[in-house]
Amino acid sequence: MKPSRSNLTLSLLCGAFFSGFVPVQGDDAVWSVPRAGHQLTFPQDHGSHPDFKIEWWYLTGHLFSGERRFGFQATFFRFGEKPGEVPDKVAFGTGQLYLAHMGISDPETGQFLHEERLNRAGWDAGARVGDLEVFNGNWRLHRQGEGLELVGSVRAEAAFSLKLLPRKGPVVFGEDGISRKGPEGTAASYYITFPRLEASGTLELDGETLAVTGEAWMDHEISSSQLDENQVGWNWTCIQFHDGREIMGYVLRTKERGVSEYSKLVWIDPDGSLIHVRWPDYEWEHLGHWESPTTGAVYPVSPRLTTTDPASGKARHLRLVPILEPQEMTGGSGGVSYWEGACDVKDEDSGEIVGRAYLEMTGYADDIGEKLR
Amino acid sequence: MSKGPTLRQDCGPRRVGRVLWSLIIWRHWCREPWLTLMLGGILALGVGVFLSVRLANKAAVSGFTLFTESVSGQSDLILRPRGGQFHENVLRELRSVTGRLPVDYFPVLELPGTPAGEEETGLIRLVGVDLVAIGNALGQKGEVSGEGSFSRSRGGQNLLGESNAAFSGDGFAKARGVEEGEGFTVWVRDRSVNLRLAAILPDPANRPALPENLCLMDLPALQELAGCENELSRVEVRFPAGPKAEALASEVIGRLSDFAREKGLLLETPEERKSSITQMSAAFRFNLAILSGLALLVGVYLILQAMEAAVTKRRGEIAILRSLGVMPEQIRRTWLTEALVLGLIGSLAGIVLGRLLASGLVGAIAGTVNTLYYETTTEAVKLDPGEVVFALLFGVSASLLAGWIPAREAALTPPAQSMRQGGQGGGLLLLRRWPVGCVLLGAALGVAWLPPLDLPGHIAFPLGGYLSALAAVLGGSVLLCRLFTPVSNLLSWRAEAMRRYAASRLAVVGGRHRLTAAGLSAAIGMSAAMAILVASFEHTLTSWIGQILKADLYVAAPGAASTSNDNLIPEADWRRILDLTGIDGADSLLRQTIVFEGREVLLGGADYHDDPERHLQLLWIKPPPDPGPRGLVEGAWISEPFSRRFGKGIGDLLEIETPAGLRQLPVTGVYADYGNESGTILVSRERCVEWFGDTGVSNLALYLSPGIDPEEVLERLRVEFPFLVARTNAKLRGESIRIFHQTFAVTYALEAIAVIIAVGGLGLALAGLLLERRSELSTLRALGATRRDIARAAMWESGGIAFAGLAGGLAVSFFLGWVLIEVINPQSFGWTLRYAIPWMTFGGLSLVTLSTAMLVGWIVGYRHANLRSDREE
Repeated sequence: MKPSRSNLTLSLLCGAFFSGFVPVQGDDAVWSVPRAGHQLTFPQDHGSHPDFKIEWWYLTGHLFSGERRFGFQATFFRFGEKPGEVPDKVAFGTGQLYLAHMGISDPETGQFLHEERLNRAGWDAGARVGDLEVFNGNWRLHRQGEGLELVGSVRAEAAFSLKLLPRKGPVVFGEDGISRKGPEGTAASYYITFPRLEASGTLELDGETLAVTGEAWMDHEISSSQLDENQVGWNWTCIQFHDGREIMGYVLRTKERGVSEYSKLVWIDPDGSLIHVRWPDYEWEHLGHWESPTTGAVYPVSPRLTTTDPASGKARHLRLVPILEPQEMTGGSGGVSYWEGACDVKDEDSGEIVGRAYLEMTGYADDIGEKLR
Repeated sequence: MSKGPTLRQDCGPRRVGRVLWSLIIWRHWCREPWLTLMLGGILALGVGVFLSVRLANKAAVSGFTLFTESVSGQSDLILRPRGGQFHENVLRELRSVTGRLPVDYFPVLELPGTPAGEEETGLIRLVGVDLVAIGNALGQKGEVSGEGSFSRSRGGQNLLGESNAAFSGDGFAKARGVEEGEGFTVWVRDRSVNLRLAAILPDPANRPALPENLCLMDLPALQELAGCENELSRVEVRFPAGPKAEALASEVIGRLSDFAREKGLLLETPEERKSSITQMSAAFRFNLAILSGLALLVGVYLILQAMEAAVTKRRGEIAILRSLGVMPEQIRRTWLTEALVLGLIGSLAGIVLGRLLASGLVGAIAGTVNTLYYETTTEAVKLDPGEVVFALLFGVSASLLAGWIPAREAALTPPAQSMRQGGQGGGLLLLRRWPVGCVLLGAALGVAWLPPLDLPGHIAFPLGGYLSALAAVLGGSVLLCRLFTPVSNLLSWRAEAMRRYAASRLAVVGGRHRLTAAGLSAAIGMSAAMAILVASFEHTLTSWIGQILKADLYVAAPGAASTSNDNLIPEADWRRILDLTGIDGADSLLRQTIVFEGREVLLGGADYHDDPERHLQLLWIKPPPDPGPRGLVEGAWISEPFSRRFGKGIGDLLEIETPAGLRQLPVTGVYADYGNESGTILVSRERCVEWFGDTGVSNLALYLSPGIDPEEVLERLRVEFPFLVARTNAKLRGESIRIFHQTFAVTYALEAIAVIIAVGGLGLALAGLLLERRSELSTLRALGATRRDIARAAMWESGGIAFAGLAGGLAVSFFLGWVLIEVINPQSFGWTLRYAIPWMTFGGLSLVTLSTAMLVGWIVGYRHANLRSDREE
């Protein structure tokens, strides 16, 4: 489960062109909800689920070309207005909206390039049912053989084309196949993740075409739920350790400056088995402050996670160090700002870099809870 | 004169200049403030008229904006079909053509809508865009001014699902009297549609305000409401910014050009699209600017005359200064300084006046452009620094030109001669040399035959025509001086004392008289020539309308009066109309805008009533072998403007690019068409359907069975087809004449201004003359003449000058009229007109000019009758 993403989707759409576009509570539409014990089948369930209200395919990763290093983000959101598939021949559908974000971080030049795009279902945006194929303008993610192909760009400033080969998974988070996000029975999602994808391809930047390789992470989450009224934002991360393990963890921040009990941290073993850690059995310290010159928001960009390593049984103090501080997505067509950036993971006990991570922080520039209500 | 001796003592050029300035110029300005003001006023009026027409011209056409310019910023390319609409499938094809390249496509469906309950007026541009995707454009290239434009609609309703939500600027809401949230009804094609103004959009920063007739809708909603599912008018293409933007653009242009060629579509830049639309009216606007320049010419005449008067008055002082050793060069410089200062002050005042006048004119020009060419809306008149500098240069040059000749004369005339001539000036030497006048008239005749100049943008500029007009106006002014003697004789015939006195003044006519009459003659000449043009146009048009409007009823799709409109009556509807009882038959026309040799023209597909006696009869310039319906099967008939524009005639082969491929047709006839200057190719409707696939028609001319009342059928048409515009023959004739008069609305205003300037100048000249004759007037008063007697004498003298100017002006106008009709008009517009002289207008113009001149003369005479003879100038 990763409530951050669904909340983000809602809030972004909420700030979009039609203030009334997001269905309010009491909406008559009947949406499907995740059911415990449901067996997901692949590759069908990598495709779209138009009977659910919210769905996204979220890729983040780290790319290398010789001495150079980059972070990338490519996200495709689907937001349902009416349950059901929009027929292929319809050019301007009103039943589904597609939002997409692309970002490239270049620590060498200090550049963070990003672009957002919102389209209705139809000729220029959509998601296939039954297999993985989503597109928004010239951006596209689809299954190709055993792997995936991702094509993205940021205006005429950057473009990338990547082949992504899963080294693990997919893994499904949550108990009984569903990831709970709140006390309501409907507040749950199907949360499918490829925690380690081997990436290779090209990156065009500053007029130069570079051959790149690296590692990526992909989430696919399907739900129909709403944000809890008491939540004001969240901090989320995915860590890829050099030893072949991963962590997915988040804290949901409440109005009382506390952390929701539905916050979680999950260790993923090299074989794909999961170890769930509930709040407050791990710690998240908000450290390292960066103030955005655009929105004025102050983000704790270098947090410390403290958790027990299931392999050694010892406490680990993991510090996330951003490769670049300005990695803020500043609104655009979504109208909501958040920080999403590539980091190194430093073990504070040994002083070594033990892995790489992506960190996401919302609710610092806007009151997302307010927007959703 | 007390300062004279100081000149010898201190001969520094600056000092001399200052003394001369205060002595010759400043002292007179202080003594005659009203005269000085009037002089500046004339210049201001001239500059003002010229500037106002320039500004108004600009503002009237700048209102034509493509959608993205108004809302989301500039597109880089526009892809559109060669005629009508195209299928939205083109979008998927485009995305696949450009593949991974980051290109944004904005599909647009644009349809004309007619507000319910109004007839043919206030057409609405219904523009359907993808209201979701347009936000992606707003966030790009740093253009965030329009961001959130559509988000102003509140209330928690889903506007995407609301198919009748419309958005407009503030201008639209005010013009239609619709508030945010209120509904309004529009006819779109054959449907009555209820729309709701969901939000009033704020005007975008740094761009023209949203046009008053623009109404935005979500694209699929407009498609559904108008019943044209899957149709698009155009796709606007945008490239993103970035270091590779240029390389990207050339790659995209290459791929899209190939695609457009393969699919028979048009790919243009917005500039090309805009210029292809606005160039149609370029000739009209250019002519207007030239006409306004002629108004300034009249002003130049008057300044010349006023400056000449000033030189004359101060001749004595100049003679003394010359005898005191002041160099001619210094005197000339002083005069030119006066002209420069006057020019500057007058021009500045003219700029303010021009700005004010422009606001009034812009509506009239936009009205004409709308009527003749395309839908446009006006925007606020903008006075940019460039225009200010241009107007200043123009006004100061005119003033310097007008001051140069008298200055030269003042400086060069020997002191003794100056003293001898006293108060009577010799006037402009040129005006006394009548052979020069003959040469100028000869030249006018000669240059009229020059071919037009080909300006960029395919504008044919009739340079020879304008030079000829200028030479004729100047020549006429020179020859006019020969008229004063007969006018004097005429005036003294059986005359009472004061009239004889006035006649005697005209017999020994001075330079002032000549210049005044010349200015008046120029103004009258141009106004009368315009009247000839209008009359000829009206005469020709009336007989043309009589020839082509023979049917009983006319039915058209809304907006058919605008030549850029491709709105059609659907096939089902026109077939139903033909099936109505009482209808014997019809001529139908399908009109499409196409591109021929890179320029936009109309392609008409005609289908004539099969009764040989009852179908459209064209007015032939070069008739085809068979002018009946069958004649169109073999070839194409072209309109006269088309023939002139493309140099095509009978037997030439036309190559027409159609969606069905390249088609060739021989020209078999050339017909007169005064409704459209861009040119028309007429083919059979069947052929048009075969090429474009559109089975609708633009308009129908209905012939009724004998005994059927047209009004009854009209009523039925209005009830059954409220979305169409139906008129009876009489109504359409009236409408055509109304459009015609609207076209000339601006020229009427310019004529009036020219005559007002000229009559004002006459009053000014007369005041100067009377001032010069103050001793004479004192003597007359001493001999028993009353103030009224003096006023009467001035009235006759003024009348005499006006008569001479009028006679000369009218005589010149016959030639100018010929130049306008036979040279300028065919070269600019390609229309053949029949020369007609508007005798009634001439009578009215003469009467108004003469009576106003006499009235002004009387008033000036009355005011100056009490001048003391010892009053110093």
